[in-house]
Amino acid sequence: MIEFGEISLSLALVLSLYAVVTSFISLRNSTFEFWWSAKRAVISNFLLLSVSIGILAYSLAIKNYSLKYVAEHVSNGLPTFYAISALWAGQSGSLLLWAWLLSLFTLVVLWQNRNFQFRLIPHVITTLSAILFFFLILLVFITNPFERMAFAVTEGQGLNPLLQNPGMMFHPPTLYLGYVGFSVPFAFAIAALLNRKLDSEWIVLTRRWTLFAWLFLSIGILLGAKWAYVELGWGGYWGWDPVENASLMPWLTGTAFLHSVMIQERRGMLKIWNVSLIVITFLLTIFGTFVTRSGIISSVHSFGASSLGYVFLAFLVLLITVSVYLIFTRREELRSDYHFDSYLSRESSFLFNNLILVGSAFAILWGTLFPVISEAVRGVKITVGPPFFNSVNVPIGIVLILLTGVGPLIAWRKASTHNLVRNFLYPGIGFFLALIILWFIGIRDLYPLLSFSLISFVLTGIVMEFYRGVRARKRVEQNIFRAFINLILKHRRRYGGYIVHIGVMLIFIGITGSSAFKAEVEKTLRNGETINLKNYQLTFLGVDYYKTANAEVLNASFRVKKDNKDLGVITPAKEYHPLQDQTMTEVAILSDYREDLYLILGGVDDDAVYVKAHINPLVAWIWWGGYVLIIGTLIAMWPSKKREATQSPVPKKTFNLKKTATPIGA
Amino acid sequence: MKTFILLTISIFFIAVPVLAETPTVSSVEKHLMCTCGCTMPLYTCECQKSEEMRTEIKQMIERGMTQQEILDSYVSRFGEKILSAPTKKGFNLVAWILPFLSVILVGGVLIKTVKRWSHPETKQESGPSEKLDPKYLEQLENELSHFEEKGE
Repeated sequence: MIEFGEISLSLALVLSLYAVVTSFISLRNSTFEFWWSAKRAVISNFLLLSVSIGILAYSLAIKNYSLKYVAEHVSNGLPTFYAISALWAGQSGSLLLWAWLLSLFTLVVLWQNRNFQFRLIPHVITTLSAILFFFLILLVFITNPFERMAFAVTEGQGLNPLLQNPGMMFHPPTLYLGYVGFSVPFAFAIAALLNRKLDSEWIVLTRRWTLFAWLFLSIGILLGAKWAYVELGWGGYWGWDPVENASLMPWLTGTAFLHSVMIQERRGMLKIWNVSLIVITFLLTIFGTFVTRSGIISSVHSFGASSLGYVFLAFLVLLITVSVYLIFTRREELRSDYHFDSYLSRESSFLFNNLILVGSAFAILWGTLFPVISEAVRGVKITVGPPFFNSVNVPIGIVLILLTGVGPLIAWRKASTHNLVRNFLYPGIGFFLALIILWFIGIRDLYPLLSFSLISFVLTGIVMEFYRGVRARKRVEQNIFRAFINLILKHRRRYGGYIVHIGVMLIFIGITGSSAFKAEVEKTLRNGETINLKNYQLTFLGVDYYKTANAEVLNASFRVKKDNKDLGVITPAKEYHPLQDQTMTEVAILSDYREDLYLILGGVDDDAVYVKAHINPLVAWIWWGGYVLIIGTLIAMWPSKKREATQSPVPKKTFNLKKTATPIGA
Repeated sequence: MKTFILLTISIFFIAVPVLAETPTVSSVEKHLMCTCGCTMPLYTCECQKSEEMRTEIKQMIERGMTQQEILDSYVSRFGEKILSAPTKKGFNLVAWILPFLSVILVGGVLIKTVKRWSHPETKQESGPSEKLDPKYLEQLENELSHFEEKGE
């Protein structure tokens, strides 16, 4: 059976190259047979890679230790669902998942455009198949998931205990859905450049793909944050590790892209910027993979140093060269149809929002690479960690909040004084009201004061937009609730976007609260002793010891009281996993909308325990913000039948089948 | 002069977080990396090595050392890479200043470009809408702002 997996992988390698060549030739020579054949190659690739990934997943589930990958990532006591999740716990398995997703997305693109009304599609398939070809080279020649063990074993090395967490099961696949998802708009951009067809067609065709990729990247980042918070046991959710940074950078540039494409769609401007932005976003997803696989930059997430890093570097250089060449040679076609009418316009505010988002991504990239630069220039190894990223990104983040509020309120082309007064009055009041209230309740630090006040500005602006919309709809709808729902349903993109903004603001509330007002205490306690932290009292009740299938567990019990009200017993723990010789910290968290009580068991010594207690204010808002962001994005990307039927993005006449490729379209 | 102002603003931003005057284990460990090879900041690591480092920091504080003295002691033994962020001197200043400087400079260029584009002289070349009769242009502005209020 394993042989089938291996052969499928090799066949997919050959067929992906075949798809690159045939899809490229099909448009150049207008030859139906080549296009027909390219489509079959894409379908076959998906089927072959499904066989490969299916066999690897099955081998993990049945713990077939004849495979090196299985022996290295699962063990006898590991539950089946964690065993299957080991598919993305290792280097070759995760690359196979990447390749399989890419083959699936290529197939979906083909299916979506089965009537072939758009001239770009063959070159989109060429680009996607070329990326797949690269990943399959890695899988077949460098890190084969079907490599056999040289000797028989009856027990595997097991899955890293840190990865045995439900959040962690879904964190990598969601991130990969985001990373691989950005391949599609990138492929459309490259196809548009190759075809010199640089109007808004490629943007309209990929809007949902971009939102899809952005959504999953957002979910992946939030799941990673939640996992770090619950599982790593240091009291935070974001450590600015190079691999965390690598996921945030394409998210930031992807967010910039989602905004700037609106300017091209509406005004035919920023064409060169939009093409560059999606190229940068895709390059950053590959850069993230390079960081994880190369070992060149130190990270807790690394799969370890390997030759794979240099292959990724070569691929990155190739992608940059091709993209820069295509953009440079098409610069005339990429000129804007119109120019800005005023810097007091939505276009300009989006432009500055882009500057801040890309500036933040650059700051993170710069910090991530600076240790390598420092070593090259000075010969001195340095570390760039959380203090740097926090100092640099907090002011940038505050400007970003401001621009999030300004963008939706300002008119396209040129804002009139009437527009400015009318739209900024209430948000301005919201800002100053929050500032005064915060000042009077004792908040004096500049950053939280500005952050919360600006969030109030943004949220007031959004509420006013909803209010005006509902009021307008009330002319045709009697019921206010129906008016509200129909307002969203009839303008999904706009109001979905506002809901996403609400979600992002909730996340900023959580980040500001938990960063600026956290409190902590650490102490050694004996039975019956109590520690006080703000209005919490924690009394140590004793320690329990027991064994599970995979670990030995030490539980410490604490009775928690808040303002003398009993909140029950919580049990932080230490788990020792003998197979991996690894000790894990299981934190205890009591959460509500105001704050989290976060208790870490540091160590146990006879009848005494060493504990750290944190109060992390407003952390729950981050996760709620994530839910709101998901809902908003789903609304924004949900297809509207009526709209699509009446407003087809590109007239079908655009691509004349008869003239260019008579037989194509099967 | 402009560059000087921009640099001052940049340095203001990076200088906001200052070292605490009275050190605690928590305040010191935020500035150090764990030496176990985990590549994590000390305050996020739970390994044996990190516990030893915390104990050592506690002893240094009890001996009356300042935060800077404790950090210097670690740098002398492990090199600059023990610090969780680059120092704010020499070549390392480039790390701190460049992100702000690039955003400020690009922002300045953007403001100038948008201003130039929106200038009446260049408007002549910027698109067909400018060739409209002022009466129709006004009507278009009104309709666009009306459209803006109503829909996407």
